Amino acid sequence: MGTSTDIEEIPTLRTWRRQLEDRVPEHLVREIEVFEAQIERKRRGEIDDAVFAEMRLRRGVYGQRYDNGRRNDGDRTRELNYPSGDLMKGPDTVWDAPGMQRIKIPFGGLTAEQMDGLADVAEEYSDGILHVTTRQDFQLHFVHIDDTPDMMRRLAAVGITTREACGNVVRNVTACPLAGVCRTESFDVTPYAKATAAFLLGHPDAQEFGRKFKIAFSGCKHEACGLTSMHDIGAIGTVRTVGAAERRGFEFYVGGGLGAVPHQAKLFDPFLPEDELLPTCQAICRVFARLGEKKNRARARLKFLVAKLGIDEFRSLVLEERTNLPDDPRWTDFLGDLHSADDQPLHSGFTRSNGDPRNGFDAWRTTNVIAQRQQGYVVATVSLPLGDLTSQQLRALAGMARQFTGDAVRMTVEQNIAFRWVRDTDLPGFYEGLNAAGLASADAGTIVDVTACPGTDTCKLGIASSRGLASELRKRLGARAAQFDEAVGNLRIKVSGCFNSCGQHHAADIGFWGVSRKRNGRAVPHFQVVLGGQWAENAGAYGLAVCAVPSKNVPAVVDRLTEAYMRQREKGESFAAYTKRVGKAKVRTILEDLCSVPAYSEAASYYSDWGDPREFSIGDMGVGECAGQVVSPVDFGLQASERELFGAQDRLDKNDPGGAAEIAFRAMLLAARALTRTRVPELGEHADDVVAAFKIHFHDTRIFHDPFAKGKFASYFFRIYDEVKSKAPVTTEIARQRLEETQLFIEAAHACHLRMGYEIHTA
Amino acid sequence: MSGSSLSPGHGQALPTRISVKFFMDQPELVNQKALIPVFHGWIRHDVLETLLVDVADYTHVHHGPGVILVAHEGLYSMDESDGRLGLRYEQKRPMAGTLADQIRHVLGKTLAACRELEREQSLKGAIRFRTDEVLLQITDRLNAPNDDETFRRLQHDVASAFGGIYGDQPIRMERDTNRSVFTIHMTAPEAAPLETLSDRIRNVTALPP
Repeated sequence: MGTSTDIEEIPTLRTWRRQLEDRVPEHLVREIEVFEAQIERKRRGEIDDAVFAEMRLRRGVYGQRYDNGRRNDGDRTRELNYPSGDLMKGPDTVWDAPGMQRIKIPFGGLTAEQMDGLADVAEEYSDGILHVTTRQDFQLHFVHIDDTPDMMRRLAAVGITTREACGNVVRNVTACPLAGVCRTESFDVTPYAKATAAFLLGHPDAQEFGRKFKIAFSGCKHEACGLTSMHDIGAIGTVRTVGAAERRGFEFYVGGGLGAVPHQAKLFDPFLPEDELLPTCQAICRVFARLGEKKNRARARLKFLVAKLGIDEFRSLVLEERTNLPDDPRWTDFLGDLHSADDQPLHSGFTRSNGDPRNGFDAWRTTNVIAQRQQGYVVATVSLPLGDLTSQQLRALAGMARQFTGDAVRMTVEQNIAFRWVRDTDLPGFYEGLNAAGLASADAGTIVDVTACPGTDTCKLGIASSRGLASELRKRLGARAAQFDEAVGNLRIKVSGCFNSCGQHHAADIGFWGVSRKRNGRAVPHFQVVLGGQWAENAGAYGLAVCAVPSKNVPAVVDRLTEAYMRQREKGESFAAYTKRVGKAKVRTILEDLCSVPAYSEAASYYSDWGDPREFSIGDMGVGECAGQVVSPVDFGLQASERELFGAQDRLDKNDPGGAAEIAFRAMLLAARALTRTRVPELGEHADDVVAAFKIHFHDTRIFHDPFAKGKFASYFFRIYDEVKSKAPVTTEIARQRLEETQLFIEAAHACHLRMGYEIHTA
Repeated sequence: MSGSSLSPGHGQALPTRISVKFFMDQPELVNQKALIPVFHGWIRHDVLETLLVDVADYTHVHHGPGVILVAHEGLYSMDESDGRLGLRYEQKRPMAGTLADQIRHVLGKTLAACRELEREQSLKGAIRFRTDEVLLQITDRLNAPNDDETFRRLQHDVASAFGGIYGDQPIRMERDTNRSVFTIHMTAPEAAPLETLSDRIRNVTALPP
């Protein structure tokens, strides 16, 4: 069968390009044709693999697990012999291998027409399932790259672009899903989010970043809202009285981010006037593009630049850059038309009447419905299990939008869909519609509504099955939901498949991130338990890891923690406050027995992950053989390092950042020494000797390199060693970051130990 | 572009993304989760004559694709659309040949998978498929919108493909006008054994190189 360009040469033949030529904006037509031409040039070998990879990422065309053409089937790693042979779509990325298409939905705002369009492309080019992400995007999986240009055309015809959904660019601009209807917001931030997304899309000053860039808008300071603290730019709407007039502006933050080592954003300006929003964003982009790290990807996010310069110097640079910017009418054009983005409610509102009690309706109303600021209307949240829905379900929701609310639908970062402007009196009918579509779960924003990234299901970086665990937790917690009191019922659980925090585990009440451990000679999936996070206050605090628990014991961890909280909390005490008061040492004691792994002969299920019958392994890491030790000296050393790290956390909890940082570095030394003694058995304990020997035998040889993060974790060790030697001052924030980096270094040491093949199979 | 793959006079290429679904007999006997290790085992042992890639679990989604066995050429799913459980195979990558050839090819792949599931020892005979009812869909809104014109254009090829395996039985084909994609509901008065249909399709299926 010919290529798309062959087809286009037949003038009578129907193509999506021709079908939609009147419906796709001209600039998007050109953009998609450029991408299509790039695909053809890549087929002819005219574009380098890495260059093409960045090109397609900037169109949201992403890779998926096993796209290197290899897959461990539980017995061995096998080659996936795709017909495309040696043709690649990126470094070590096979052309025919299924990929993921990320689709940005700015501020999560969807129209009914867009929902229908998305449903169609999911059915035709994917597996009929749409996944809502933790950044208000959709993701479609198992997509072939050849299908992506037509998919983009059809999305463009309904006003959706996939441009800059991935890559080193400004990603989706997110906003609170209640913007415009919230009872506590300063003002509706929707038009500002929309204008920012439009302004920065393809902007020349936003094309030379060393890493991705994320922006979020909130209308409230004290709710979770847009989670501005964890974004590169976070803007909280605020109003100030200037003279006799009220002026709109933003409490403006920069340099936040989760990832492997989370940073809280820093206050850039307590009141950035609304007309300075876009030029300031542009100036920040210029500074980031000019001064941000480009070679070391591990340090290339804006948060590292802000930390390195300090907020005052960073601000100074941005303000200077601002004065250099040529005027751009787009900075303020949108301010004259702020209400063009307003929802148009389909029906006029009525005050609440006594509802008709129906089976399940009352429970659903309690959890999934909140009153809007506008009298007579509510926001009804549709819970999507693991963020997934079928094309048919999305069409059903489109129909409900047309019937009940108009185009007033928002996706949420908790992987649900919120319908605003539902008349209170329409709720029973709305609920029946959801019931018919299988979308009437009464659990939005509750402990049952577990957020999870794709993890090992489809992500190349996944270590453990976040979705498998989340599914199990949902099932068990759903069965027990009636037993929980309100405090427990409202806890937030978030799961990431690895340390990169796409599941936003740092900001959860109870967070988990996937790791692996060697136990009894075999690899076992585990999750780090993260406590102390705060979702409110725009992700006001980040949790820290307490201990690593085998994946199959995580549900029991949740049971223990929730039961302890129910029994022991003081009046009005949040879960984070409770864990802080009790102390991590005590919490760890509660969970200690759950950290162990039974022998393979007793419970082989521990050695596979949730929902995956294969024996667990880290990607394609092979299993080696060793002489007869069940617990090697390396294991002992790594366990000692973990104990030391826990001690560091305890010191931080006791407001001793200097002590915490010192102990954290000791933990790193223990881990490094444990590994290095396999090469230098006589290695002493002195830091200089350990660092030097580790560098020679593990860093320079690349044995310690992570397959994807490369030398990132070793660089933490060397940098902290230099900081310790120079006696650099340690603040609480620096101590916290050092603890995070130590945790990651220890995880990397575990993974390295596994790769080194010191495994035996014991009965 | 091969001339034989064009539908003459209509300005349309042959439709793509053909799928066939055979419904389960006694679906209440099936625990969908049990298919996850089965499909992983098929990958490990190359059970189907096609490149198998991965397994995806969507059993948490209402009336969804259930458990999917991802192949390079298409998707096998224990599909629960409209609340009716059955094995669905959808061809995702382009094929050569006439439409009838392509439908036979898809039928063949579906029947092969159905046979393997019926034989799967770990499922202890819980899976049996009805053969007196088949759902054919073409998820190609460009070349096969769900309308009467498409039905008129394609019905001969569809009938030819089904006729080749149902023999002399007077099969009935009804277009489902309520669906978003072109959908034919095929029914036969008798349920021929799965092995019979499978053998017949092997005898007639041979896509051009």
